[in-house]
Amino acid sequence: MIITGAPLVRQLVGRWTFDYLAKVYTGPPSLNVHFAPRNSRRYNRFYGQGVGQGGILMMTFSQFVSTVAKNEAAEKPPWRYYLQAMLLWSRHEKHNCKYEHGGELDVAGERLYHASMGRTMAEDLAHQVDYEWLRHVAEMSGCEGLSEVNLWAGRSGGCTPLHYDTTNNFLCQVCGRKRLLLLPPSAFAHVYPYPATHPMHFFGMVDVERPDLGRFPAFARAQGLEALIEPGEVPCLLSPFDCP
Amino acid sequence: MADDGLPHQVLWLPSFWWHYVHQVAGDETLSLNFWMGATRDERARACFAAEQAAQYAPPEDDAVGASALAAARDATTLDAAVAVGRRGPSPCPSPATDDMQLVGTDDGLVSMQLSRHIETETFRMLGEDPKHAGLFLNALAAGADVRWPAVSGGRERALGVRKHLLSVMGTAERANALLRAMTRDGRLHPGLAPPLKGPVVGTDELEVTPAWADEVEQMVTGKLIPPRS
Repeated sequence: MIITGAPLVRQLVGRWTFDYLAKVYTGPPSLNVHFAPRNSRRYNRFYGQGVGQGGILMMTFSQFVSTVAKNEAAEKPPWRYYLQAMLLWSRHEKHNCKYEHGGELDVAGERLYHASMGRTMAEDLAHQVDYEWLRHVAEMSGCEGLSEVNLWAGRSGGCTPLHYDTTNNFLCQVCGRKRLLLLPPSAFAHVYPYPATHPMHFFGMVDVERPDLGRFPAFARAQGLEALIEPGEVPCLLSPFDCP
Repeated sequence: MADDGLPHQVLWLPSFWWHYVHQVAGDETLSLNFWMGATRDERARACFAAEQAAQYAPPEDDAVGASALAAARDATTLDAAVAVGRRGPSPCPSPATDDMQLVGTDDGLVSMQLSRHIETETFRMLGEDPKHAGLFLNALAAGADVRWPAVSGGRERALGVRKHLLSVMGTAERANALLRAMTRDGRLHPGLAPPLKGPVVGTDELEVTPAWADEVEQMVTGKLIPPRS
């Protein structure tokens, strides 16, 4: 499932870094920055009693960079931070109406809204991403047009727990590496999804790095794929994964 | 191929695939992801169509319907329910056999979607009480509903759920395997998730956590304090 040689974000590799985005992001402090205690290792997207410690802050990119730097400079950094920001979205996405847009872009055959992020960054997003390639691959694989582009930024080795999304996704590394475990939908029988009426219903309850096989014995039969994705030259790994 | 020879990797992640994402420690990681379309995967659509065709036919008379709960609480059925819930002796074949029943011609998406839907519908049908829904589905997974009175709300509701399962899964064996997978190890009742208390903050609501105002203030102003325990 890893496509090598994809030109999708080629022009951004080496260009978009923490320092660069801290300079060119001139939008409002509206980037969602998740924080969680260092030892929790989890960004849930949901926080509160019973779902995990942490919360969400709204920042500019340079606030994010300086907050992370201050934290990492501490002897025992108490927090982890992870930025998730919607940069582009389709006008059909009803739930996104509450966001103020910074303008419109015609890309990949769609007219999309972009976040208010400053002219340089918006132009990068408009001209340095190969939307034609995206449209071509989407057509070949029979999926629908682009609906949302998100930026993810982190530095402290945190993780997003096992979950599924309801839309097809292309994930690209611009900077740094990420390790992923991927399991087919049938793994729902092994990963113990939260009940369908729980706010975290699309997450598994089992911690895949330290599974409690006493509580979640079926996870011992989980099988999937492990991937390492990176923007650099080292080839990716895609190897069978069994429960640790 | 990219003309500079770098791999430029893109991960193609199909909808409904489970994924765990870990940033490699120490790296400044920047990713962009491109979500395509809305919730309209072809296979999910097929599943939803089947779901609409299925008939629950819950009884009109709610007083009778309430006996679904009474039946689920009945001593005999409760034993069976708890047996499934706690992995006691149960009539099911080996779990590995069950697992294979859940993957049809697809990668398990239809089974997964159906299980989610059955859970939600049962919750609605039984007064929106997760405990009752869990108890009821445990009883069905153990096959206890066949011993419930032939004319009762409980039996009728159980039949509705079984019809729905059968219409999508195709065979009783597959339908039963799905019930067992959904209720495995007390997942729904007694439950494996910690209890929820107070407000939950999430990105969909675009709310900043309210209970952490002091910490937030200090983080932004630069003074670090340890997390609350």
